[in-house]
Amino acid sequence: MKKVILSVAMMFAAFLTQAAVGKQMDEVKLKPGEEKVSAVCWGDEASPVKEALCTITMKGRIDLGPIEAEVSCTTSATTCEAATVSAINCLSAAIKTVRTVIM
Amino acid sequence: MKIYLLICSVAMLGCVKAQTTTMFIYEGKFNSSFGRADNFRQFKGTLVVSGDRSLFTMKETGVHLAAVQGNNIDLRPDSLFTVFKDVESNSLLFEFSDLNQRTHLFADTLFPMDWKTSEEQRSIGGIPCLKAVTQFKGRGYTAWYAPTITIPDGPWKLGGLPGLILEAYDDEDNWHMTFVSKQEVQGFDQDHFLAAMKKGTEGFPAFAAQVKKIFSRLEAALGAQSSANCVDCQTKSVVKFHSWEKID
Repeated sequence: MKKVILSVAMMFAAFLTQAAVGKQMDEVKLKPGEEKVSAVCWGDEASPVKEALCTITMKGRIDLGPIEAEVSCTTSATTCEAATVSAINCLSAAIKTVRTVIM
Repeated sequence: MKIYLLICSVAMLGCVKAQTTTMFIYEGKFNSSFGRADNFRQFKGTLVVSGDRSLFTMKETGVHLAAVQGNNIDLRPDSLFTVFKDVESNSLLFEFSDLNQRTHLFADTLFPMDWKTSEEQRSIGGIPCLKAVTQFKGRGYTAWYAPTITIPDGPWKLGGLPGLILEAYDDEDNWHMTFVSKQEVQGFDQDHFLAAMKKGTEGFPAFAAQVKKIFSRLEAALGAQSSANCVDCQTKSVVKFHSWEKID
């Protein structure tokens, strides 16, 4: 009986582990598709964060005519939402800083 | 004696008035992201030639308002590529607008381009033209010049060919100017440029230094800003600078 209970418990534990992995994989697949802002999502490639799943780059320009400065913010995070929000915050802060320099 | 002086003055004034001033009108485009993205805008260029002196400038067609739009800060001045040339004194002045949209004048070498001419012909506005190519400040340029218009000038800093440049463009076609018409005008205001020449204007290295200073200023300001407020995120911000003319 003990053996049966132990086997069932182990199977249940294995099932839970599989379910958790499956859920995590679903998130990995879904998150990049949720990106709607004009940013590039490369998945986990070239990610500076260990175990980061999404990298977002946002760019801004300061146009002086024949001279241009391009500011880009690249954020890696475990979810694309977090990376996007962070990249937006970074670029907004950068643009604000440039405005302060100009004014 | 007074009458003699008066006659001389009138004669001199007559000579000055007799000098024709012609405005050559160009149309074209400029991609302010030059090659990295398509950010083309249409421009009207004017080259006003009076004797040995000329003034080139190009203005965007339509309404242009310097503004902050989304993630882009547009600080372009009203006129771009403004260049004053004086062949007699072998001088060239060009305008540069800084972050505060203040314009500065800098000197540069007049027609240093080493043109390679060819027999290739084309007609622009009914005027026969010949082709010439050159490398200038990191870019390749093609010019179509009219040997029948014996003015060794052209749009922006280009010139030094045995005829007026009626069409000019860079190898990537990010900047393109084509002659469309000409008209006689009442001279142009040279005082601002002549005063700068008399006072002494700093050269291209000073311009390069100023551009680098602006870049450093931006870099320092952006470097000082705090990064993302997301605990699990890692953010890297990069500032890249691009100049139409090679400034290194």
